[in-house]
Amino acid sequence: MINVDSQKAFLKQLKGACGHVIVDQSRMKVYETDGLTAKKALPAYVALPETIEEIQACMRLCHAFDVPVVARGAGTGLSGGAMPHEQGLLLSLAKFNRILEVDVDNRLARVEPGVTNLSISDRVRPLGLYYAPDPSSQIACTIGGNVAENSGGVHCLKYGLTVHNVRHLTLVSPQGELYELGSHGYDSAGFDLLALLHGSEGMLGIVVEVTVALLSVPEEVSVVLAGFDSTQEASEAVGAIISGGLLPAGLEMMDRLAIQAAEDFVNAGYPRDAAALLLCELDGSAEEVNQQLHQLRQILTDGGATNIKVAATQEERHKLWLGRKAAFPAVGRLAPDYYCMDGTVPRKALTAVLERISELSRQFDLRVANVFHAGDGNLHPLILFDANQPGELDKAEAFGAQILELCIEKGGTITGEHGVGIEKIDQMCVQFTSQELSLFHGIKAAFDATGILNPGKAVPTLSRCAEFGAMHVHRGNEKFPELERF
Amino acid sequence: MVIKDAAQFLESCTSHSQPVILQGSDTKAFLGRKVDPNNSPAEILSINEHSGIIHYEPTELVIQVRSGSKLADVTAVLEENGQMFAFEPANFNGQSTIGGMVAAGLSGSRRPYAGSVRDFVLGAEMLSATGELINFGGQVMKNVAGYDVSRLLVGSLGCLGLITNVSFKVLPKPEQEMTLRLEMSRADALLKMRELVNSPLVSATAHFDGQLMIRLSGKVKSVNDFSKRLGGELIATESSCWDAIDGQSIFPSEQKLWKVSTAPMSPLFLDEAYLIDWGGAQRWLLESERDIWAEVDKYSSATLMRDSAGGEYVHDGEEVFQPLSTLQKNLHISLKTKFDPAGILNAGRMYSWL
Repeated sequence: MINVDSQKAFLKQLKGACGHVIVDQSRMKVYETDGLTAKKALPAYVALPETIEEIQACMRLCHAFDVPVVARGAGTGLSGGAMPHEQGLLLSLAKFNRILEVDVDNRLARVEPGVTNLSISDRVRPLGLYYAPDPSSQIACTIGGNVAENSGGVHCLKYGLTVHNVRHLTLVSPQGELYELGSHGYDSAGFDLLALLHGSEGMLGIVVEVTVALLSVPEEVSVVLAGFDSTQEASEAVGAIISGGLLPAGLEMMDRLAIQAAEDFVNAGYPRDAAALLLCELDGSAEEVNQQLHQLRQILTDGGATNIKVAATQEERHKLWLGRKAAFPAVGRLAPDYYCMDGTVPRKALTAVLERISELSRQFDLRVANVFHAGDGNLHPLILFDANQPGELDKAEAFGAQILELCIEKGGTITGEHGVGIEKIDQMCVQFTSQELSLFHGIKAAFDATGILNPGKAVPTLSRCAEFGAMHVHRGNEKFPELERF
Repeated sequence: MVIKDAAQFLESCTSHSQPVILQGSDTKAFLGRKVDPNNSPAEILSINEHSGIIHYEPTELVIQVRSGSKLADVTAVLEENGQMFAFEPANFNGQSTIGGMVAAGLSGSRRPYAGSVRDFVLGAEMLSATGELINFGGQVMKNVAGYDVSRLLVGSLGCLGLITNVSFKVLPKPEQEMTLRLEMSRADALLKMRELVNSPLVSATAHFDGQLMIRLSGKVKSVNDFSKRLGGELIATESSCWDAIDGQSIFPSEQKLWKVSTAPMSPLFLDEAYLIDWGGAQRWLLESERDIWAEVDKYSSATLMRDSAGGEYVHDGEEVFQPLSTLQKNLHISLKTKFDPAGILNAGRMYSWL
């Protein structure tokens, strides 16, 4: 859609289709970025529909006029997935914020996409239930965004990601048609499109209703803090805990810079002199937790922990987690800006990767704090910089890109839970071959033939990769890496 | 057949529109329709020779296996290390392959308590219909780069490509397992299942023939203590009942067998079901006359698991899986076209139109 007449016609019809449309630039400014604030764009239009019919009407219109659509929840995403398209419509789902039904018998909650993650647990906790995936932004992030990013969180080590905890989705297609995926049982017919939609970053459809599985609040929960003299010892303890047959609900690690920042910020009672700490949460029946606690103490002691603290009461647990949950804003106080990375590596590679990151930190002359989901190898290095210093943002981004490529080299991935968005689109060229990227484009086309949903995000075009100059052979392998084995 | 040969074979089949049947040991011929290419007869491409464990590190809880590997062999290796596939796949005739297990996507008795096949798939390598070797996901627990093709392959019945190897998350085996039997009506059993869904020690439940079977898994002392609280009779051969359900040998073979997946406490076919399991969420029906699909609500689905003859494939022309909406059907056709442009792979196995 390029000519002025059709833009006018589109806007007129858009205002007819949806009661709440914004075109005033100053009022659109709040939508110019998501959690990745370095990437900004003003959309051409913002719509805040209130009913599914309004969403359908918006989509029919955008489809007819070939106007790009970027769906947005709370805008807490960290990869620029909700960054607006300058010629496009920013479709905010903020008004879809109701919990429609709690089915206690089947332990399901049917919710609108703009409901915040935490509000689901808050609603069902009096019934002894909760929703397990708990991204750190859970107070603000929405369930629709969680589906788009396949969000994880502290407890996904034991309870899985969003994809493991969603049973049914209602969607609007790019043509404005309503359809459903999944079931209220554990199976559904056909290809597993429900799984495919998770982590699809708003590229395949607009989620308008989500049915999530609820779990029972565990009988007993215990949180253990262990301080170590080196990140290596802490990393090795992570391996020992997992291979010892324990399955903690959460297993988190923080390094010295993060520990001190968190202590200064919230006074959680962390050992300031430790080089690294682990936070390990155990849950289950009282009996199981007791036995696991005994085993965990042994593993931590054998692993050289200098400081072990067990929180038994709710308040003590809360205090220990408080430092972890406040770690990002705490680190944020150390420098004007920070850049949060999100690679995942096999657990055994943790030590090597952390060492290399601190080498890179010296090389780039930028400080890094590490606060991350150690149990599943999901790193979140926070690169500290000052965007007002010329060249520092570029330097931070170059540093970040090297960390991501390091993750791929160690057999990991460029994004564990934050998504590709616009931020990591070039690194996709490193992780995937052109054949694999072509198939992604094929999947996209099957759902969105004209490509109006979130164009330019998540999957790079082959020409972009050629320009980036990083169309690598997959994981350094040849096409038939296993030939010699036969 | 090695991968290179398979790749060339597929590439040639696509360019000549030659239909292909992808299979492992063909132990799940009962599932889905007979492959029915319209024109020329299909060639069989078996992945059986492509076997072996590529990578297994017990401390990482990850195993990567070639798809022709026998499930029994892989399970044995996991057991040696005190680990397991937590989704409890059935080993049909003892010959099932890893590729078939993933392509069929059938999870076993532990499913409601631990997760499904797709929940434990971390990554997969496949040969496309045009013979390209492509790779999705990986060996790490969390990975959101690109669309989740490896999970899409689970249950795709060989309609999207030839799965060549798969990486799984594995879990430690519980220290102790035991199965208890309690005499109980269907209605009471369902309530008991609902109550037990709260317990981290319960790993399987089923009700049939007036008896509720409950399997407990966990630390020895916890399991023993909990079993005393539950009461009922301890079953000596603990695994057999669950293997018989998951392997479907528990069902009389002379009637049509339906599997209905629904919300655990749904009233759907509750009393008519021959057996209910998965905490109530799966109902097995022996039923020849009724139009089961028509009775299923939109949040549930039914699958014809076995024909009345007790044989392998359901008759040509008849559907086996819950019919899809027009929009879903179109999505399936578009996706199939992207993965398999000439439509040569397992044509008609899932739906007559796919």
